[in-house]
Amino acid sequence: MSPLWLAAWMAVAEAEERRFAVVFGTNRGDAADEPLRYADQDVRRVGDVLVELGGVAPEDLVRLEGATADDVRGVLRRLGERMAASTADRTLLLVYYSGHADALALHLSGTRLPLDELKRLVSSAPADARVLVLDACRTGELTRTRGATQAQPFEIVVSDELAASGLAILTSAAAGEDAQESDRLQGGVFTHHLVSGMRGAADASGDARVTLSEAYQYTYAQTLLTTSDAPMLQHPSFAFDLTGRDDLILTRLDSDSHAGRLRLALEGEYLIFDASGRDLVAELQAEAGTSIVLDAAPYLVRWRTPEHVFEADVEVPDGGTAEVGPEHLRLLPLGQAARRGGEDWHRPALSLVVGGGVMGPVREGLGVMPIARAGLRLDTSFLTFQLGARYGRDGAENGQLTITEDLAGAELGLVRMADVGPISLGAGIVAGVDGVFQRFETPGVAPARSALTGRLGAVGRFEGAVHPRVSIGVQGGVDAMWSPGEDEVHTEVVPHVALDVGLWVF
Amino acid sequence: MSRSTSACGCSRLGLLLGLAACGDPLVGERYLGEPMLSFWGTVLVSDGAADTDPDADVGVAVVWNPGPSGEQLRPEEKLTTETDFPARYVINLLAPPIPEVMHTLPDGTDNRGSIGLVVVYRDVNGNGRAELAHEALLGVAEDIAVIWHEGPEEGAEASPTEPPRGYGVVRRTVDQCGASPPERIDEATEPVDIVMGDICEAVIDPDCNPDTMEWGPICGEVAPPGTPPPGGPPP
Repeated sequence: MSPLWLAAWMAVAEAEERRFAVVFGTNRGDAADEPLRYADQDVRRVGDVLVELGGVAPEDLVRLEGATADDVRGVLRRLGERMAASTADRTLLLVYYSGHADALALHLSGTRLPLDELKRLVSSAPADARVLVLDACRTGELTRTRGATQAQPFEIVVSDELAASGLAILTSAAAGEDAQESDRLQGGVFTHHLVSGMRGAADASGDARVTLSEAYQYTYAQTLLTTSDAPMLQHPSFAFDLTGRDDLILTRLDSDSHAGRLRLALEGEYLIFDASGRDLVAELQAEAGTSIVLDAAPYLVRWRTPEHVFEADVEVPDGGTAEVGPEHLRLLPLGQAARRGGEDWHRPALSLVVGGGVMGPVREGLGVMPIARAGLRLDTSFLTFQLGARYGRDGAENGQLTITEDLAGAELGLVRMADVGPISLGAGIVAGVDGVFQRFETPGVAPARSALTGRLGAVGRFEGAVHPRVSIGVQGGVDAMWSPGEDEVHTEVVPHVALDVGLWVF
Repeated sequence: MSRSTSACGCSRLGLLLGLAACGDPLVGERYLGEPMLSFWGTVLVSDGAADTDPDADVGVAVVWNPGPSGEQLRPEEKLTTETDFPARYVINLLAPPIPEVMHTLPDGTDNRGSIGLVVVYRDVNGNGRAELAHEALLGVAEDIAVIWHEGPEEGAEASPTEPPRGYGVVRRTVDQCGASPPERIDEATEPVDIVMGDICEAVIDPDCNPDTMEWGPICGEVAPPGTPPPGGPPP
């Protein structure tokens, strides 16, 4: 069959099918439920991908945020009436929920919708095929009560057995498990991967079609991977009662005229952010050559290997394809990689740091003290730890005697760094102890003095990388410095600033 | 919750680091050293003395006898004074006398040193320093002298007849020009009082013999600080 004939055939086939969808959710469950943060956002994301790629016309999509049980009942009833009146040869209903639940019911803004009732409402809808997706705790009961066992991602063979008519149920967690939200993903873990999969990450066959089975297999594997560091693993579950021979196509990657495709030339883990680098759009484990569909917009693509993190800025064209390959990827400085690699990357970067600067006087009138610094710095995903030593000397002359003061000490700093493009900014605290030694030249009597001082202060840091392994930074702050006085401990406010060069050793 | 916990943690860390402060007290630019001699006393006002209002700009100082080659008294500059007028004062001497006021002491030995008097003056120019050429002398501790024994250098073998290097305060125990040796006093417990008035009747060398080093109320010229002695500094 020629491509032209194939396109014409598909156009006819698509014209005969009409898809309806209800996506609903609520951050608020029962009074005893801890409010969720991203359930409404999950609803928007799923609705968007269904309209963009899932063949659901905007007028056939119902979104309910902050839904109640009666809202859902009413919407399903009205949508059922519309499906019954549809003249399309074939109809599909997709129902998605994000929110709280237990083994028996969805918790909807202080109301409850029993799972059995929901299943009955969906099953009885006048559609040829129905898909129910639940991203909620313990909804795995819904698949278990049908006698299905928890499915393993690569054990089910769907291409022949899963057909296009009947009911399929996907739940985000197995019976008794909690479904998890992620601040990093800014959504439910299951929904995040489901949407990424529907946008192309799950297209294992590379035919620009994401089937229900492909989406499930991808979502299962990624959800398990993401929650592998969490206190409880989350196993999506799957049950089906479909007949026919064809797998159900959830999304068509070439169906949105307002989107483009991003082709990922290298195999590996990808994080795709909006252009600002703040909002995570997709996270996927891609095979070489995987394409996903994204809105036509600029993106920041982050590609991770076990050792390094690379980034590329890419613009996905409207209706076209952008590619990210080796020539587009730039290696991140190791310190930035430790922070930006992601919570599950967990690869700190250790650097040797040397520098010099000045600090204010330990005592009034002793003048600005030049200081030399050296130490180690460990950049991690959340904090940068600084362990260092410093030495300085200053002095003064007052007509009666000459004072020479030496200072040598150690410090520990905790700095929270944030990356703004190639620049990193940070703020934190530094604590340390110094030995201070004062010697005097005088015709009179002035014994040398030595003391141990403590200090605690706030610091700010500005850092840029001149090489993936070399950084130049400026760090300054103000310390409270405690030293022994004649009668009591003396407190001095001591400003300091230093320039340093860091060499990441791994 | 976490913020308050963090603040509490920081204050505890600060307390711990504050407790780490130990050792010798550190000093700043104003530190002048430890006193080599510290003595105290009161300023007394004699009957009939003119211009002796102790509430005015009055200071206390030590002035050195310039010795046989000198003609002017030399105020000691390296000292601190604490005054609680109208009565009490403290003087801390922070360095040995300058070489220009070192000479053979009138104790019948070859010991070298300096002899100084404790004076009270009106700070006419108000600069807080005893620039006696510009000030008005108001009184003197009549029977008290501050003695600096040059002594052997530190580490050198001390002579059994030579007093150790350092300062002392001595009191004249016999009348003017008497031969009795001065008596060392415990300056920590015994006050050095200064009488205001009758200055012009006093001289530092009553017998007018520059080879001897008696002391008494002042009646001589006073050199401003930094003035070299006649004939230049000693070799």
